[in-house]
Amino acid sequence: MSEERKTPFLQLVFDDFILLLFIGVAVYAVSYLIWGLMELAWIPPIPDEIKQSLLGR
Amino acid sequence: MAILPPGENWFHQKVAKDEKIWMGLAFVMSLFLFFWMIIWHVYAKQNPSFVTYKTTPEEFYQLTQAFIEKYKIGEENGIPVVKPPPGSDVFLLGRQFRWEPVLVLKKGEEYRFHISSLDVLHGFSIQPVNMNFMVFPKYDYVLTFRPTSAGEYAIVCNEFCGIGHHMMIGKIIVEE
Repeated sequence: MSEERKTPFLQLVFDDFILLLFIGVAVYAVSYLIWGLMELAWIPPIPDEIKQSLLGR
Repeated sequence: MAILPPGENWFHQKVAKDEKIWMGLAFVMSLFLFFWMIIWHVYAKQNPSFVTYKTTPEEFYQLTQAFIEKYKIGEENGIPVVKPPPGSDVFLLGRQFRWEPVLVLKKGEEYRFHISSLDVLHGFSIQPVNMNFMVFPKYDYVLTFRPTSAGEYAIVCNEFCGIGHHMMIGKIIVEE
């Protein structure tokens, strides 16, 4: 019994194709969502020079 | 052979040579596709670079009205006709169901287009050149634009925006 080797964790992951399918979709879904939210959060307002050139204030 | 299912405890076994070759080929292919995106953007000239600013419908409306007042040269079917100087910021407002103002531009000169919507999502589509951009409310989409041939161009809304969507046609006049 002591000679029985434990299956490595990554082998368990790679052998489970349903889990791989889930990871393949979930990783991109989450990272693209975060990327999109970051892009939206970092959009600057219209620069003051442009507003001043038209509105004069 | 990598084509056969691996035996028990394959994790510590050596990776076969043919599998390594396939992994290498896939890696090279993905690198090629990655750099192709950049090359395509620079040389194909089909995906124009743009800047986006945050705005509000009220602010953008105010800016467009100020722009119209400053450069207005006439009116066409109740829509102001505007002739901005080359190199200037041009404001174009999409709303249910019209584009305003009508723009008179000079061929070969560069303009910075600011496009936004007052209400819902619209599509900014220049015909017949067939350039298409989405126009969102609350966002100012800035596009550097240089008309290369003279003539009259229609701005067609290409995102269904309501009952009068098909009548939402604006105009750009490019002069020599």
